[in-house]
Amino acid sequence: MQKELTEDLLLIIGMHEADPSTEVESKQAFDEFYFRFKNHVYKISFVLAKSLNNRNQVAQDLTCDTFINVWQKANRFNPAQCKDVDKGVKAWLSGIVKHTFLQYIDRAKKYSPESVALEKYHLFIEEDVPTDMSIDGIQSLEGRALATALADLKDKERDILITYFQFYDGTRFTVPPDIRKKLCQLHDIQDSTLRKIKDRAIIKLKKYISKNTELLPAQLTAQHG
Amino acid sequence: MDKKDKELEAILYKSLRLNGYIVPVTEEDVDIFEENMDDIIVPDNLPDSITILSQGYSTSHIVTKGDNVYSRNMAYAARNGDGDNLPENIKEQMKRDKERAKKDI
Repeated sequence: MQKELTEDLLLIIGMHEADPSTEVESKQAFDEFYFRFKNHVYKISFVLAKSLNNRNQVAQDLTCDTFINVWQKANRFNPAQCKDVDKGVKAWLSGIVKHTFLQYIDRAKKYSPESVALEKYHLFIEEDVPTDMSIDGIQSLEGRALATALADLKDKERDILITYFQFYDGTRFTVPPDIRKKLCQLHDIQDSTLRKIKDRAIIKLKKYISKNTELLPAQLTAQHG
Repeated sequence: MDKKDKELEAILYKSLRLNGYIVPVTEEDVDIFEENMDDIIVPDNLPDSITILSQGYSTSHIVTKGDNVYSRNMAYAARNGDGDNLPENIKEQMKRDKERAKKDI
């Protein structure tokens, strides 16, 4: 399977759903797919688990759970939408890790300490590589400017801001309660303070952008002023 | 929140994504994210693919135990170094909280 293209591996993995007799071949393809992408999935998981105490263990759990979801839904990936299939797969996997993380948190409440049978889970996984059209026309800060702007924030503000944006869906922030709770413990603050700190960080960044870039006048003042 | 704030959020979101601070969403984000996350060490003891499929979903390791009133009172007492001098009603409350915490485990 080492020479197979990534999109072919996913096709072969997906075959077992329609035809169980192909399971051995599907598992071989799955093994190769896992080998190629486990590092990427682990790193995404590690980033998402940032605020949790046992971050390494959670990242490992998420990696495993994400690949179970891939096994079940491999045929949902649509390579036709990708310019570069391997990068497209990585973006697709990132979305699956996020959904898996939310399920994982949910499971911590409902099912601990038993493990969960696969068939009990109805998974929502994005059908395609996200196109993210909503922000295509929006400008952004280049790396150095963003790094400078973030450096002006206090550590607490930066951590909370980035965590909030980790769970931004394009219209609102959807930080899971358990993550908020861990952030509160980490920074020794109340839940009600979290949002205020996030808002304060955004205001500081807004001031920085207004002072040092042309982004805000173009985006916010000229269009809507 | 008005539309201007939403657009500011969108600028920040896109900036954080394109510079690898948050999880990549598109192909364009992937390279930068990987560069920024180069220092994350992937453990070499991850289970193999067959084990993953045979074990099923993980038991969640999110630690929620210990985050209760009992723990907070104990922490308070420890911080103030006066565990033995707490009022009786607080001690009683701590005892009840401890029992409740044990039941929850």
